Amino acid sequence: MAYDLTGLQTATDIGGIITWANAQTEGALIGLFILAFGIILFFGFKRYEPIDAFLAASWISFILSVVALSVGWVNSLIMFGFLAVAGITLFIKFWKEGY
Amino acid sequence: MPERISTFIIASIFATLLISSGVWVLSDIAQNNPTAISPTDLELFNNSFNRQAELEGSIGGIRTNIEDTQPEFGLFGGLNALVNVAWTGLKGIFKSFSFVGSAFTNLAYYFGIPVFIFNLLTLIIIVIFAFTIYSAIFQRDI
Repeated sequence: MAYDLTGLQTATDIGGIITWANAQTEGALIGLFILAFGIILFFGFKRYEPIDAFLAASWISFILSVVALSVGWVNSLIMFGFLAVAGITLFIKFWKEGY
Repeated sequence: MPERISTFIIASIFATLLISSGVWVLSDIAQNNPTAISPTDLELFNNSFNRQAELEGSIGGIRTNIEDTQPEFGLFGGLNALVNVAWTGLKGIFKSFSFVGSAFTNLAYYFGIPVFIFNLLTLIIIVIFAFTIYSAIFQRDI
């Protein structure tokens, strides 16, 4: 696969390089960044129950990916993934713990 | 760890609420920025996850069943009368949900709140009432 390096050559700062790399990978760079952030968030919520932490992390990641999508930074697939994960986690949480 | 039928249905309602709200946010973004998300993707995701109408239909069935049931006639007339009164009251509770539902829908229209939120919240109340009654009748945790 050949990359179009024009954007990289004209980039003047780190932001330009990241924007170029993200455009070349069709949003996978920022998408994976949000995924990594979600995983870190999950481990960061270690004082809470794992299912609560997972639900919060996936929902926050979904909101972040929605914001990134609205400016065209990520692929819509990753956002649908976060939404589905959040929904299924909530289902399991209520089923196991009751109301 | 309950794992009862009622919690299963309520869990479905909560999951539908969360996913519907997510799809609602997405459709709002898609409307403002059509290039951000393809309508085909959104439609596919809706088909697989947004089961709000089916859920409403099935829980409406639970409500209608309770509204249409008649109490059994036993040996003692006085007790029968008491049971009848209680049962009519119970059916009244369930019939009032239709009114609450329409009130919520119209309020949602005026305040610009999505209707699915109120619909699903009303469904949760119906399910809790219905399964409380079932538990009381069958003397079992369902």
